[in-house]
Formats: sequence, structure tokens, C-alpha cells
Amino acid sequence: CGGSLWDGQQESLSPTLRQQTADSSPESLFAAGMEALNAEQYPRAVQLFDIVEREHPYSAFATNAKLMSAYGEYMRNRYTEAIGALDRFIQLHPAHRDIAYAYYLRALSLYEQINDTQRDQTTTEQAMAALQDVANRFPNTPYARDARLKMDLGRDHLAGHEMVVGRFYQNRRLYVAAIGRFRRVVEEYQTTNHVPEALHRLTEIYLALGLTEEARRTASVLGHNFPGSEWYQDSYALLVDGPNAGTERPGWWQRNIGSIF
Amino acid sequence: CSYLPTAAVPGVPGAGLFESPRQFRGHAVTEEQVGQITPGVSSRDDVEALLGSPSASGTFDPSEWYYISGITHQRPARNLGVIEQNVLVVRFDPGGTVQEVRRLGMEDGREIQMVSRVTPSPGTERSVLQQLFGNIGRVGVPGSQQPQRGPGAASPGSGQ
Amino acid sequence: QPRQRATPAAAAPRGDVIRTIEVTGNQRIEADTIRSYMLIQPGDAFDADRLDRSLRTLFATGLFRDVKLTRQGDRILVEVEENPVVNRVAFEGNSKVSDDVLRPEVALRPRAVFTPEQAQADRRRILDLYARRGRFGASVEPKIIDLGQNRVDVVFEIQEGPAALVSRISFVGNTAFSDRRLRDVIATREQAWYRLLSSSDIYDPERLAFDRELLRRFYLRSGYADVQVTGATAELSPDRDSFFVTYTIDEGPRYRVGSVDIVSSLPGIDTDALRRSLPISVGDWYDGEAVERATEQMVDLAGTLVPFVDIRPRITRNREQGTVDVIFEAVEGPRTFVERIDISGNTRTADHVIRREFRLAEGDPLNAAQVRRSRQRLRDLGYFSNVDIQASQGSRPDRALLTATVAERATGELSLGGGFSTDAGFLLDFGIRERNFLGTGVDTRLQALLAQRRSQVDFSVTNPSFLDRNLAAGFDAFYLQRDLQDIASYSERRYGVVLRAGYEFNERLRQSWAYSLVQRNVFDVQADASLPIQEQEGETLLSQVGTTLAYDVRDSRIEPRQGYLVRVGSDLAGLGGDVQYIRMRGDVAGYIPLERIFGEPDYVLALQAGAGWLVPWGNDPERIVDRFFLGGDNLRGFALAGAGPRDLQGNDPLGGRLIWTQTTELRFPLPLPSELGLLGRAFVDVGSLSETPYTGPTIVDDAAPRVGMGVGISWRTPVGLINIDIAQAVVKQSYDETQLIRFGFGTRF
Repeated sequence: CGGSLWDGQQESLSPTLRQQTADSSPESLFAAGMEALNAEQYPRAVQLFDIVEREHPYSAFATNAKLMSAYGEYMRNRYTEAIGALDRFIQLHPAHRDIAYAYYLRALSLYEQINDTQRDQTTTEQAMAALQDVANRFPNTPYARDARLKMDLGRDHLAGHEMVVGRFYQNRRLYVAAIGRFRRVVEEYQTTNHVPEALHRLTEIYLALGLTEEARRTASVLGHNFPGSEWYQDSYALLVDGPNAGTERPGWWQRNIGSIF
Repeated sequence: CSYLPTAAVPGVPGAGLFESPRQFRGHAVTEEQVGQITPGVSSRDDVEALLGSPSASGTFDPSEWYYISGITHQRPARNLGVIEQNVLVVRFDPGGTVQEVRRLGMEDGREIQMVSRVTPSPGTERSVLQQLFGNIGRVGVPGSQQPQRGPGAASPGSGQ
Repeated sequence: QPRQRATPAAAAPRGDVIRTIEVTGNQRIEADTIRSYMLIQPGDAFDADRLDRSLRTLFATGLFRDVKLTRQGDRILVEVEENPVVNRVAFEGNSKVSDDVLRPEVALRPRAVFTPEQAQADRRRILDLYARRGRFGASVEPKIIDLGQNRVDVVFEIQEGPAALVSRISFVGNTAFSDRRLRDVIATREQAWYRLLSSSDIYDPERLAFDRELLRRFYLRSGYADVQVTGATAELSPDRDSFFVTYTIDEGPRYRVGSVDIVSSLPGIDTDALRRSLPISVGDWYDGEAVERATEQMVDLAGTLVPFVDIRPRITRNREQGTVDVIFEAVEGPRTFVERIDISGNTRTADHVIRREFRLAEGDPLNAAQVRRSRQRLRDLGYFSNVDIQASQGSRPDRALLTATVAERATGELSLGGGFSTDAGFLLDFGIRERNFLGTGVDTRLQALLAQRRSQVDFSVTNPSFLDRNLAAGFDAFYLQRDLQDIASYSERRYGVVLRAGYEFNERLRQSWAYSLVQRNVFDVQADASLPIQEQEGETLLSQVGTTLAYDVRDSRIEPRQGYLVRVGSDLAGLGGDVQYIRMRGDVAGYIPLERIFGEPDYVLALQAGAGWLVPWGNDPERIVDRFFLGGDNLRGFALAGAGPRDLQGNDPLGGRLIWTQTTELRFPLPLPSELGLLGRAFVDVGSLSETPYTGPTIVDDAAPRVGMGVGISWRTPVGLINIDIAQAVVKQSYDETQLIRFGFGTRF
């Protein structure tokens, strides 16, 4: 075919790897790849599997090589490349016996990219959707059990983000916004451990607005469902003893310094 | 036409040089709108048609609707100053007709100190170094084309 | 065209059950993968329609060149011909457009499936790309090289052909403005030698449409309310290598403003307050854009008085008198509230750093002006390459969802620079700055400068919203050493800390406070220096608190073209420390856009004026390092500290306690293509410095103003920013030190 142009990719410059593997059979290449994986030399493993797939696309090893190269990328924390390779695998081999693992690995790659509660949550939602997909498609596999566990963590994460924004608005005495956020945690994330705090914050806000019976009702629901929680003690203290008798009242100085560091 | 940059000189009527403009917060309800709600007669739909949907309803008690509104302005070196804060409480009887309408002003509220404790969330707290340099690989250099399409980007393109 | 001979099986009596599906001809794709795509599975009843649909799904996967389904008894035979796999994609003959610009345009990638349709689609995309760059004569041929084992290489052979340029632009129907004037208005330019690098003279159909809009807006601004740009045609020139572009315009009559009025059906809006802020007056030429700007302004204004207000301009033209009546109607806007504000894309910046810039919160009335201002404030942060706020329907009819999508930008800068400046000589500077430290919005910066006559280290940390409040707090620690031997025959060293705090009264007025604690040292005073300088030798400690009020109505802080800035401030030194003085200072900067005269937005007239007065109190007067100096940056045409009180005996500047300066500067674009980043300026600087505390036969102290005039160029080259000012001291004292050329060149890499 035409003169082999150097297409600017750095890896193709290294002739040594290509000479070594140009003639060897897919089996030996695949075995070398697996060995590199076990030795945790992920970049080399990914390269070997890519060569298998490109040089011998019709061998049975090509399909497994695609999956293993995706695993290598995942272990190298290059999640976007891993997701790309897995998408290709799922499109070409939907009936493969390890398809459940492919979906699961793809969901994990998304899950690893979740930011903390202060930052963008779209990756969390994508990860939750992918995990839900795994749980639906392959209900009775170990992957599904782990996916359900990770979804709980993801839901806790989303609730955490709602609480962060709720506290931001409550700090600035924008109570309508804060109520909206805390109500959403109470209604949509009942299984997370943020619910007691959300209920307590609602009690604080209702008292600040003057809706004392509503505050009492909310505190009673908190007490009924989470009797031992510290949040209930705070709400109780607010309702019974009056505004400043709560257990943890930060001094002005400590509150300001606390927020700097 | 005049060359002077008049467009840039909005003669802010009345607002003094130092005054920060007032800002409307929440769902304000005027006196005459409230006047049109007659307890015992108007139903939920009448109230919704007249005032719009409520800012919030009771957390576990849908028979109470709250229309919360306020006016704030910016204060130098401090957070938002609340000039006005009022709540209109509309209570419905089980049948869905208005039972009672109450107004609460700022004086009814209590000065509440927020508890500083926070429920920890399992988020992956990123290490300082990761936050500092974690962004270098991912953020596209301004002006670069859209992200590489397809998985083939990373692997060596040519091969005999 | 692939052979799509799909032969559905012969119609067979219904009701037979299919026992197996056999797949032949597949090389790379497993049989059970193909079966999983089929809609008919073993054990189903035979059904011609489902067979046909499964044929279509197999084709839809794009994996097969040809598929044949035939029925034999109770078996379905699936014969497939797989599409080959792409091994390599290469481009040949593309000199003007590089490979990595072409590669993303092309869908065929190594290891992807090759289909003839995809190759044709990619060929068209490459042709479109060349058409956008004005090369209409380009031709692209995809060559398929078969490597065996159903693998192919795809090579796109490209002949680029010449770029079609625009050699002549003409206008038809323009009576009010000359062809030359309108040529400045549109973006397309005529072919010229100096436009070698620029692409504005290349024929581009999309830009013709953009030109029509520019023309329409230009006429609208000048009072032609009925203007129609009826056509923009381009024909090939006789020698077929360039285009003649013609714009046909139907101007219509020119309108003046007949009457302006504001009508309000809302209580609580006093229309005369709005009328006072109207930039349109009766008798002016009618200006469509000014009406839009006025509407936007009044919505902002009315929004602070009543929550839901919408202002709609109603324009009635009366052709006979040639006047237009403009009536602004204040009506009740839609009562929608913000249900939620979702922020996405902030992978680094914390949520509260973005949310605190929002002028409205969840639950508040939806106010378009505040959404606009929130977007502008987010852009001014400088953390994002793109900010977009979209409103969408909320869960209830009167609720709206605001979604803000931001694209993070690398806010860390590591700069290593070299350069030359007239005051400091050859210089090397190192800087590391993180504008958005850990996404918390804190700006941290470390700057070090090493030059022949100056060395400086600066470390500064600023939190624009300390504790999420309307309070910016920060501190600087600095070390500065300047060798002023040949200017004032002494060297100066200062090191210290500054604590800063600032807050906003409203969008335009801001106040900042600063407490500085600085140790200063005047040393290496030359033996023959003047007496006043010699007694300044030694160390002094400055403990000073100062405040500044800034009223800023400019349209942008970085490149202002309109509006003005007024700053007044005072510093009190003497709470401890060795010097006691009060220093008052003030400056005004106004920017007048001259776009209406020259048609180009880059023409700006900048007027600046500043004054400073220092009054010592107590028994420790100020030192020379505290006084004002005139010349250099604040008075071009004069050397650094070249003008003002001086001791003729040592020829040393003594500085003064009273200073005022004034600058008039016209900034204009140069006729070179704008991509070069060249901006010219012509300026007149005036200034005076007086009230030096010393007296004596050889001391001269004359408050007469000095004047310097000149021109300058600033050039943003890819390597760095070059500033050259050539200024002549026109009015000066005999003893002043002048300086014809000021040169600054800084590069970052």
C-alpha cells in the first residue's frame, strides 16, 4: 500500500515494539498482554492488546483483547479511553459471555469520575444511570449487587450536594431556596443519612420564619424516625429552651476562622 | 446625535450614590390579592389561580400553603441584609376550602443560630495536589478542536 | 453503491416453526452476535414481515456490505458479507489544511467499520471544510487499498486548488453613504497585498449573509428604519480566479424621532424617573439600536421598583413627515419564579463560588436583567472559557428552571519571561499564579522580577468573597530594591506586608481599605549627591492605613470602550512608624466610543486626569520615597522622575507634595489585519509637580505644567506584548530630563 507516512503518533515511532510483535501469533501476544496486566504494567498491556486487535482482528483473541485493553485503561485511571473501548466492545459483541462485565466496568469508569459534593454532579448522574443499567440487565450477577451498593453511595452523594446548596442559601437567609433544597432531600433521598440533618434545618428555618407549629411538626417527625440522632437533640433544644441553648453554638471568632481553613 | 456616553450614565432615580438597590425575594403577595380570598368559600384552585403556586407547603401536611417573600439589599462587608420578610399562611380544611389566612412579619421570626455540624458525605475528597494539577490533563487548551472522537485516539495509528 | 440485493424468502405457508438459524460468510462477527440482532429466534413461528425487519436491522448495524436471508424448510440461512475494517486513514496533498484539522472531520477511524457511504460522507465533509476556507476548486478522492483479510487502508487524495478571493466590492442603491464608507462597515474586504495573512478577503458565502446584517444594523443606527438589504450576489471574475461581490440596498426614507413617551399600566412605576434616563430625545435621527439599549436599561431600572415588569417599545412610522414615534409601554411581565438553579460543568470550581455570583436565588421572581448580569459576573471571574445560562419550564406553569453550564479554563499560569524596559533595563521575570486556587475562588500569586536596576518579589493572596460575604480580603508580602543611581544618585529598598479589605455598596460603587507596614531603606547615596538626598539616607518604617472609593461605570475592566471611572482615596501614615503624613489622591478616566464616526468599534478616545496632595503632620515629615514623582509612565516624553523639583547641584529629582496629570489619548486600529493584534495610539500628556520641602539657591521648584505629545503602538505578538511610545517633550523646564522613546517588551513562555 502507499508509503507508510509517519502519522505523528509518538508510539508508532518506537520500532522496537513493532518489530518484536510483528510476526508473533495472537496467542503469544495475548498471553504477553495478560502477563503485563498481572505485573501491573498497564501501558504495555494496553499496547499489546491493541496490537492483537489490530493485527489479528479475526482471531478469537481479538474480542477478549478489546475487553482486557479496556480493563488496562481503567486501571491506568484513563476512564474516557476505557469507556470508549467498552462502548466499541458492547456494540460489536452484544452477546459475548462477558458482556455483563463490560457494562459493569463501564459503570465503574463513570463512578470513579464522580467529583466531590461541592462540584459538578452530572458525572454522578451518568454513573447512577449506568449502574442502574447493570442492575436491570444482569439482576442476579455479583456485578448487580455491587452496582446497587454503589448506587446507594451515589444517591448519598447527590443528597450531599443538595445539602451543600441548602446550607449555602440558609446561611444567606434566603429561606425559600433553602426549604426547596432540604424538602428535595427529604422527599427524594429518604434512604440517605442526610435526612435527619435536612429535617433539623427545616425546623431551624420554620422557626426563623415564625411558623412555630410547622417547626414542631417537622421536629416530631425527626424525633419519631431518628430518635437517637444528635439532630433531634438540636431541634428539641431549639423548640423547648429557646434560640441560644443548642448543644453546639460556635462563637463568632471560631465560626469565621473555621471557614477559612 | 450626542457623542457623550449617555447610555453609560443611567440616572438612577432616587438611589443615592451609596445605596444598594433593593431586591425582591420570594413570592410577594399584595394586600388586595389577599383580600379576594374569603375563608370558607375559596378553594385550592381559586387560591392557586389568584396567587400562583405556593413557595412551599407543609412538609408533611399538605393542608397548609406558605407564600414566603422578602426584600434584601447588599450591606458592605457583611452578608445580605433582610429589610422585609413576610409569610402568608393559607390553611385549608380537609374539604379543600380555605379555613384561615394569616400573615407573619419579620417580628414573628426568631434569630436562629445554625448548628455548625455537617453530615459527612462519602464524596471522594480530592487531595490538594490532585486538585491543583488534576485539571491539567482534562481541560481542553482554549482554541483546541473538539475532543477526539472514537476510541482510536490514544493507540498508535500506523502499523504495517 | 453496495449491492443491496436483499431477497426475502419465498412466501411459505404460515405456522411452520423455525428450528435453527444458520449464519455463513461471517469472519469477524460471531454468529450469535448476528442472531442476537435478528428479530426471529429459533422456535418462533415463521413470519415474512419479521424476517424483513430483521434484514433491515442487520443492515442498520452498518457492519455488513450485503445480507441474504433464505428459508430452507425449517431453517433460516443468513449469508452475510462483512464490511471491511479500516486499518489506517491518511490524507495526501493537503498543504493548506493540516492532518489534525482534517482528522476530526472524518468519521472513518482506525479499527472502525468501513462503509462506502461513510467514505462518501467524509469526502463531502472535507469539501465543505475547504469551501469554508474559500477553496471552491478543491477536489477529494477517497482511495481504498485492500490489505487482504477484509482490512482496508483509506487514503483521501486532495487537490486544494487556488483560494477564491474577492477582488471587487460594489454597492447599488446607496445614496446616503459612499461605497468607501460602506466597505468599512462590512466584514469582507477587497483583495490587497497587505491582507496576505488575513482571511477577510477570501470569498465566503456565510460571511456575505453576515455582511447583510452588518449593513442593515449600520443603516438602522443612522435613522433608516425601513432599510432593506435586498441582495448580496457574487459572480466569478472573467479570469475565473476571484469574485465580484455586489450588495443591493433599498435605503428608504431617513427618520427623525417624532415623539418619545413612556406609558405604564403598573402602579409603583414613576414614569418621569424612567424618562430622565432616556438616551433618546425628540429631533434626533432615529436609531434602532439605541431603542433596544434603552429598553434593556429601563427593564433593569424598573426591575428594582416592581418585581414583574416588562417594557415593550412600540414604534409607529409616519412616512410623510419622516418621523417615528416611540412609545415605551411598561406592562406586567409573566409572573414566573425560579424553581431551581442547577450548575454543571464546574469540575474544579466549588458550587458556592459560582452561586454567590448569581444576582437571584431559587424562589425569586425570574428577572431577565438579573440573569444577564449574573452571566456577566460569572464571565468577569475569568475562571471559565464559556458561561451559558438557559431557562426552561419548571415543574409548574409559573416555575422556571435555570441551568448554568460553565466550561472550566486552566486558571493556573506559570510564566517565565524576559524583556527590556526603559526604566528597569533588561529584565527576567518569573510568575506563578492560580486565580482559582483549589476551586475556592482564592487568587494566589507569586511574582519575581530580576532586572538591571530593579529586583522585586511579590506574594499576594486575595479571597474575593471572604466567608461568602460582600467582603474581599487579602494580603501581600513584597520585597523591592531599585537602583536609582543615575536618576537620583541613591538606591532604595522596601519590604513589608499589606493587609487589604474591600466591599461593594452596589454594582458601581466599591470601597477598599489597606493597612501597610513597610520598612524602607535609602542607601548607597553617592558622595556628590545633593544635600537633601544625603540626609535621606537610612531606614524608616511606614505604618499607613488608606482607603479608596471607586465609582466604576465602564463597560469592561480589561478593554474599556465606554463609560468612566472615578477614584478618590486618602492615606494616613503615622499610627506608629517613623513618618507622619496624610496623602489625598484622586483620578478620573473617561472613555468615549468613536464607532459612530469611524465605523470601527476599536476607535476610542480616552481622557484621564489625576491629582495627589501630601501633607505632613506631627514632627516626622515624609521621606523622599513617599513623595510624588513626575515623568516616565505618568508623563510620556520625560524620563522617570525627569520633571519636577530638582537640586541642580547634584542634578537629583527631589519629588513633590502636589501633583496633577492629565492625558488625552486617541486609540485606533491600524489598517493591518486585526489578527496581528496591533493597536495604535496618539496622546498628549500634561502634568505638574511642585511643593518640595527643601529651599536653597540650587533648588528649583516650578509648578508650571509640562506637556509631552507623541504616538505609540502596542503589538500582541505570539511571543509577547511589545509597547513602543515615541513622545516629544513640548513644554518643559530647562533642567527637566526628557526621553524620546519608551520601550517595553515582555514575553511569557
